[in-house]
Amino acid sequence: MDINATSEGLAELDLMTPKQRKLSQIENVVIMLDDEARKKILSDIPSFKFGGLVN
Amino acid sequence: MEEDDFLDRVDRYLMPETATGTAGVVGMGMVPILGDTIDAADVAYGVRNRDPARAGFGLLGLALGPLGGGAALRELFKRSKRGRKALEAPRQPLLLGSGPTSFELEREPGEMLLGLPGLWRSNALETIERAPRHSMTPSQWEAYLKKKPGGIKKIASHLQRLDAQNPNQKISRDELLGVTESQLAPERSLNRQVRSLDRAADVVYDTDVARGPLGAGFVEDIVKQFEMASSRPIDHEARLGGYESDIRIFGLRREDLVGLSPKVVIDYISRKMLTDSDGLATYPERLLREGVEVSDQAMKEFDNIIEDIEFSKTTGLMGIIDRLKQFERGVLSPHEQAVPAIRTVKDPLLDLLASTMQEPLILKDGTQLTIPEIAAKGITSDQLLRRLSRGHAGNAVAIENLFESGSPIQSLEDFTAKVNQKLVAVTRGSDTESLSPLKTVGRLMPEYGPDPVHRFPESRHGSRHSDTPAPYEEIVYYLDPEEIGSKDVSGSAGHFDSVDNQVMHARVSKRPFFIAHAQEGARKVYFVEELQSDAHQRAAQAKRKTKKRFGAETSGYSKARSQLDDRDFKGISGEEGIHSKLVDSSEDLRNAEREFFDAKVKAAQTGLLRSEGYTKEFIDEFIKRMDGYVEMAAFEDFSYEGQYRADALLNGGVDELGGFVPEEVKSLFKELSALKSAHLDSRDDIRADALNALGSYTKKVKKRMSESLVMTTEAKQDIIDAIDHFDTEMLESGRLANEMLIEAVNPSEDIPFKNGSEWARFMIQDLLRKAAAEGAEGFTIITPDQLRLSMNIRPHFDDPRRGIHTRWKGNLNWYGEVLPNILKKEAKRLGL
Repeated sequence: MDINATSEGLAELDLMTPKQRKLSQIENVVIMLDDEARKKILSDIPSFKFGGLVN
Repeated sequence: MEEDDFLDRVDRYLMPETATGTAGVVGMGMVPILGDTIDAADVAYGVRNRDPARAGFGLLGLALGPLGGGAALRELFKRSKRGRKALEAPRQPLLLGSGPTSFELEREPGEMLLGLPGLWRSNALETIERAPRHSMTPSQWEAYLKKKPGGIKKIASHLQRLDAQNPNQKISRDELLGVTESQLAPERSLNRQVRSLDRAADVVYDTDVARGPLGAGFVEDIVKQFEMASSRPIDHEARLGGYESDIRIFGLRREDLVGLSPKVVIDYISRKMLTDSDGLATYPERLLREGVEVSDQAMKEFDNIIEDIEFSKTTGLMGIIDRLKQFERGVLSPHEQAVPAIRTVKDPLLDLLASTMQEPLILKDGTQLTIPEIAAKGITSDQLLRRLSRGHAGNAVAIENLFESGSPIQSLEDFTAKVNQKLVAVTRGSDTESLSPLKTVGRLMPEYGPDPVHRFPESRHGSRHSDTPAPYEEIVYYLDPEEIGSKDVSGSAGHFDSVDNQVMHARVSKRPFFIAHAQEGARKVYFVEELQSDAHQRAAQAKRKTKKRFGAETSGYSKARSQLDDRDFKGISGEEGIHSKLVDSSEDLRNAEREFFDAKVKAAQTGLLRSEGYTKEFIDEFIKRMDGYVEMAAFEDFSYEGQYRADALLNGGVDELGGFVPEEVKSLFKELSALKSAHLDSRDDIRADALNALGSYTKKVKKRMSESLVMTTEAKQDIIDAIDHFDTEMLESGRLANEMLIEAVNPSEDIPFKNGSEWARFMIQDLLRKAAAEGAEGFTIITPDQLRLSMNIRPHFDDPRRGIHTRWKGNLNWYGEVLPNILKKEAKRLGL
């Protein structure tokens, strides 16, 4: 049984559109980072200095 | 008392008696924000003082926005003879419908504005109540109602009968409402209210009802239901041993209920049903005694339900449930999440609770059970929840039945089936599945202190704002003041008082995070709790406003901008500048008005004496003009220009024309105006109504003008000129106010990242880099559901008819779709 669906779930079922329900139930998108991934990020994404943003 | 005094004082300012005061209010009404505030106040005062006209003008003004101050319209209206008469008329109490399904408004203004009394009312009644104050023939009414959603069958057949009697008979809205009430037999009204009651019972059981749809009137409604149900003949009398009414059995009296909160009332009823000697538990016996067949299966299920209803009232149970839910949603602290036993026990949730929660359950017979004791009995958390759900479902069905048929149970089979049906709906049919602990504890929530310390990694001076460790970190992106100077980039202050030029910000934390089915335990994950840009949000809002006013987003905006460029507007800055410009424009407005009225007087003096008759050109010109206004108002998506012009003429100009405009035309305009204010929520309605009104108005004007009115060419020209001038000035001042509002709400054009959610992509990249630099083992963004919990928002809105909570709705898309997609895309781009 899904705990979400006890009390709050009732109103949730009644009132949300299918799209909203789907969005409300999504799980975290997790990007796993190992040594290699961290290195890649540090080399690919330029360091950002606060201030003086230029569009 | 003090409050009253204050309100009355404000009231005097808003309803001036002198000409100067009037001019002041008209002028103020033109000021953006201030004008809306006055309009809002008018609505509130109108309701407070039982003054529908005033509330109406306020609403109209709010709908017109910054241009059409409701106060200005009201003052213009007040100055007319007709207006004075209307406003001085004795104030009637605001009635929301009539008859047993509605009652005199005795609530706070705010409650009425939320439309709360609608809980008990049918669609058809509501539709009629929202119809224009308009007398129409039966067939016109039918055509009108047919366009609306909701069942009108019964009313339609009645209208057809009326039509057969006399097709030309005009029926007013109120008359029709009276008719409708009498058409609906009491039991019918009762039935249509059951659905609401059903929901009400559910809501009462599951939520705090201090706010929300079940306001003060709820108990009143329940009392009405009781009275109706008690007086209703019981058709299952024979089966239930000749009781007159089960409501009487439970000893419920009106006096018992008055003054209680809705939650208490529902709870009171259900406890009565449980504990009374003739209560729910006695029903199987009574049914058997009356010869009703009861199957063993139904009997068994019924016993379980009753037991669960009793169980659902166990002291301390809700505490456990709340705790379980928090755990399920990952609200518990990482420390609690990381209890090692979590992967080894049968019911990890309950086991974990045992280590964190000491309060025992107190059962009905007084037995106390601690959580370890519950767990030792082999009861799992999902069993607890299931029993609670079934208890609530049983309660709700019993109450629903009680109101529907006067008895909570007429057949055990029906009752158990209904309870199970509700239970399945509530639990999405998944009540046999057990919890998957790792899957659910994988969702973590950030931890929020009651008074969080904002910690910036670096300030613009290169030092930390605070060295106090905080459970999370706030990162603000701002434009360097050394480069561009210090200015209010986002139009007004953002989230952080101490940072100038702030554009966007994020809140992040590093926390242990269980990945579903991962065996290696928690990972140290960089968790983005919030990612937001005040500046971009304001820009988007300004764009929407511009679009609403000028049509297409870009062309409208550039149109406004080019108009601005033609004006000496660049030098104006700050509130003071805008204010002085507005004072000028309201001065223009008053001058234009004066000229207009002067011309009217002149025309009346010189023109009406000569028997020359209207020329075709004049009539055409006049009609074309009004056509234009009405059409603009009706078709151009609430065009401010169109609506303002039409309303100015309707409420100021036309009324002041005195003998010039035939009475019929004036009243038609009034009706048109009422039509519009009655239907501000539906453009299609306005369109249809405006067209109808326009059609009949045009005919009448033509007829009446060609029949009787006379005027000199000179006088006619005066009037045309005056209208032109009035028009131009009104438009000019309106447009100016409009533009100034745009300027005021539109943030500087110097915001970086103008395209879509480009700014968010930039932030995600930067945060990814930060995460990598700090050695995080993973990166994730908060989900809508986690956010909702952190904001302490329930998924449904307080008023169920308004759908889910608006504050959450916007975030659903942002955190549920936009940001995850950007993150996925970035990961793909980086080859992760």
